[in-house]
Amino acid sequence: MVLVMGKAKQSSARLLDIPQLVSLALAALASDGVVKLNALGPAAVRGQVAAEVAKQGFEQTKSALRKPVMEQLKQALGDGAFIALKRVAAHVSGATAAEAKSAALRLVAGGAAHLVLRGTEEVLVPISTAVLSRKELLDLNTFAKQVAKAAAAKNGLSLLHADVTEAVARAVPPSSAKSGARVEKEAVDPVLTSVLSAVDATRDQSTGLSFVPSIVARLRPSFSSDVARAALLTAADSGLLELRPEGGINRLSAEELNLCLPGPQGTRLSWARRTENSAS
Amino acid sequence: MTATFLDSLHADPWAEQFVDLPSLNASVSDAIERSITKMRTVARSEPQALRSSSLVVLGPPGAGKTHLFSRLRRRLGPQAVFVHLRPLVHMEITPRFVLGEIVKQLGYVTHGVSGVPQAHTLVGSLLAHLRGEGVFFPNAFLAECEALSDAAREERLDAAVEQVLGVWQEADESYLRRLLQVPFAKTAAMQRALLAWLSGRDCDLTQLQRIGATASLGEEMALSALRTLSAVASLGAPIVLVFDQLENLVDADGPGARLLAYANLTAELVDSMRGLVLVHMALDTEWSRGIEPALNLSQRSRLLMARETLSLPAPKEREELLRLWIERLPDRPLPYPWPFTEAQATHLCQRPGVTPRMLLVECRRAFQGEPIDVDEGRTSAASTPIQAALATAAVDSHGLDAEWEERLSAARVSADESAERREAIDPSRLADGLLACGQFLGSTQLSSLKSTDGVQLKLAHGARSGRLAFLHQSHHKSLGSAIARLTAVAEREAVVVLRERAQDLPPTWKDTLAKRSALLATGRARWIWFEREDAERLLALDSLLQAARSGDLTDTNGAPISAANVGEWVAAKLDIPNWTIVRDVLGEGVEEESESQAAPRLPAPEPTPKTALAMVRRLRIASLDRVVREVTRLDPNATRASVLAELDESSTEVRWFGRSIVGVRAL
Repeated sequence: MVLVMGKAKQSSARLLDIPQLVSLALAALASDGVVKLNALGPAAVRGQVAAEVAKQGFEQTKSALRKPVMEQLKQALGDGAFIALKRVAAHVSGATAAEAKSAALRLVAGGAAHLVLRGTEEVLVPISTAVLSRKELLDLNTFAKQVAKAAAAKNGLSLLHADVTEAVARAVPPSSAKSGARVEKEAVDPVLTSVLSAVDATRDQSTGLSFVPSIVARLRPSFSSDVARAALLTAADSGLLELRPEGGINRLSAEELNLCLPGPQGTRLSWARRTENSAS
Repeated sequence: MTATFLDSLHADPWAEQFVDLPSLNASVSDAIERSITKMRTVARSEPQALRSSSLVVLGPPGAGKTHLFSRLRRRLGPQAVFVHLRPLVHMEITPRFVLGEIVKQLGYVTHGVSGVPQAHTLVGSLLAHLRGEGVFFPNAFLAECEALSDAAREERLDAAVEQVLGVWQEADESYLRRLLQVPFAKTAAMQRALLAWLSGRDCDLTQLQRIGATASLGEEMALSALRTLSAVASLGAPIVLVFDQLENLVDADGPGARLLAYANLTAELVDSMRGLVLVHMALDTEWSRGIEPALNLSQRSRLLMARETLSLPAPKEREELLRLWIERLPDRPLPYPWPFTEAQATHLCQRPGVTPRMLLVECRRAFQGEPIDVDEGRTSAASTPIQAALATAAVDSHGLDAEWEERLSAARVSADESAERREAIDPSRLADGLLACGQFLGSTQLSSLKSTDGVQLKLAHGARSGRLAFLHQSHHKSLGSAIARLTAVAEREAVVVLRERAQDLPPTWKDTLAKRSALLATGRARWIWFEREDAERLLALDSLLQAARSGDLTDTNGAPISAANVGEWVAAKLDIPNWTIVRDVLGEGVEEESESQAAPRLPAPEPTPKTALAMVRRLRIASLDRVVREVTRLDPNATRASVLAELDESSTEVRWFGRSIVGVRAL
């Protein structure tokens, strides 16, 4: 019996490879953000695997390994998430609500995120989001007191529309920071603007692709084919568009071939797609 | 470091060498990974609510569709079972074909777990989950099970079967039991037999005896088997079934029966399977113009649960890719951008429409010292489209010669694998290859037939017409039944039967031999023994034409070669009408022979200088197939018939064991 068990252990141990277990744990952490200690492998090697993984900057708790909570939050904010402070724990893996909230407040204190009031909710937003400065808040607060006074008066007191507009404009100047929403690159060239509109108008909603001959045909009343194609190239060079080679099997007519742009290695660029950072 | 990756312009889903830029199209691989994770979660938490998912991935040629498969296989390792399936070019896809491909690929190695096949991963993960253990270390769990006594292990497997049946009553118990036995098979032969049975192939008597089965898995059981496989896998390592190169389903004259069969089959998989992750990959244009419009609303709603379009690499990603590749080049005399100049690298990174494959082509050309013209794109922009089209049309025959040799080698490997498993080469693929030959045979028409009696084709050649049937059965009874059914057909029309020479009929199969004689006695039947070399050519041709349709063939300059140009090259260079199997099928040169002749044809060959005898002396004892193979390698003009003739002449020196094994007489 002892012999049999000995063989079993020997067999398991031979098949266990610490670097492999570490890489599996890292893969699980990369996808899930957290991995339970008891999923790291057989108990005999768990400690060793956990120590190896922790060396790579992961946090170890009593029962799991996780990506650092602040890192997880930074990543979520980096993706443009607005996170209500009450529900911040739902955006991180392997942390309690208290730990998550504390990490969120540390991010705010460290200048890596803003905390804003939206309605009655306190919300964590990316640092790139435009928020009011302390001074702007105080200015607005002074004006708000005037509004409150007028609103409370019983003698029909009001405010001049122009005064309100001016006060708000003074307190909240136009922001130069990114709003957090996608920003359309400025297309000052009218041809480029028309081309981008034509790309949007001819887009196949299901694939997100616009057929180049259709774009050129749509622009033809205003621009020649050559001008339209040159503008498409300019848009591609500026990173506003992705031009894609034709993948169809004899699907282009001779006329369509003429309207497509020549691509690398003898291909024809027959499709255009607004790139992620420019698509509306 | 070697530069062999530069030769791999077309992604091999199972290649071990792999260079990846994870950020490129990360959203697409993440979407598939999410589907897998969700499938596993739902399978465990709400098994009755478990359904299958279906995702379509689109992109131009060379954008990295097949590469995604490799990436996910590496990233997930034992967390999923990956199956890569290219549709048949001429035949319809059937549930049995899909089952066969899945089980075949269960025998492929799981990435990250050295030498462990996916079948073990599947069973290990499932058993681990059912025992409440972590599923990501299936091999460790299997090792524990292996250490148990036979009785204890059987008890554990019985318990696992009961647990699964408790959750999904529709699972096929006998299929599940044999699946669970695969990792614990005592011998390699038993494991092969189990996999052969699970794949729905016709098992021979020995295989059936080994696994305690009385008959092979019938065609009608294929869907039930798929249902069982997909559901049980989802608890540990869900099956990800990737249909690649779907553009091959579109016929030149529009959507046909194959596309319809594919849509119906995949809709059925979505409807009736639990836990299957279906991924459909196709060229964007072909999908949106050829495939999707042909689907009805019901099929669309099932196949198109989600859609992802692959992006081309942005300039920064192209630079990262180039750096990745260049870092792997041996003996770099200079840092990046060598072997490019600064201007060439910048141009490549900025130029519109560049796919990863195009980048790799340019990298290879630069490494080999070929001139890279940075103005190529802009100058061709100035040229007329007709000139550009002509440039595209230019066929580099050297490129295709090499490509053909590569496909032949791959076909040989595939045939070797089949031979090792002692099974016939997939008849669907062979029929597909034969149908591909039909394009180059002038007035001869070949078409596929819907038949429950195996793979059958319709042949019309001049005034003659008839039915072609591939007989691949390994069991004498199923082969006998198939021959009997063909005998009934031969009463009405001509029948041509094709069977691999390696699958000879032993003299002990008296009943089957009698049925064969009865078939030939009808006077309307011909029996063709085809050689392995014939089969390899058919497989290679099928694969070449499939790649051509998918835009996966490029000449030595990296320019894509159109399907039409590949067709022209095939017609000019491969001389298909003179291939032995084609001539045999068309009945050319057999007019003088009796059509009912049962014995293999033995044309009077010119005796070769004693190569065959020398080979037998060297090998001492070998199968006739092996001798023929070795001799034809040394002497391309040698044929099976000439080898046989030479050995018959040397009867004093060689000794026959039946008609398949030959040795030196001294033995």
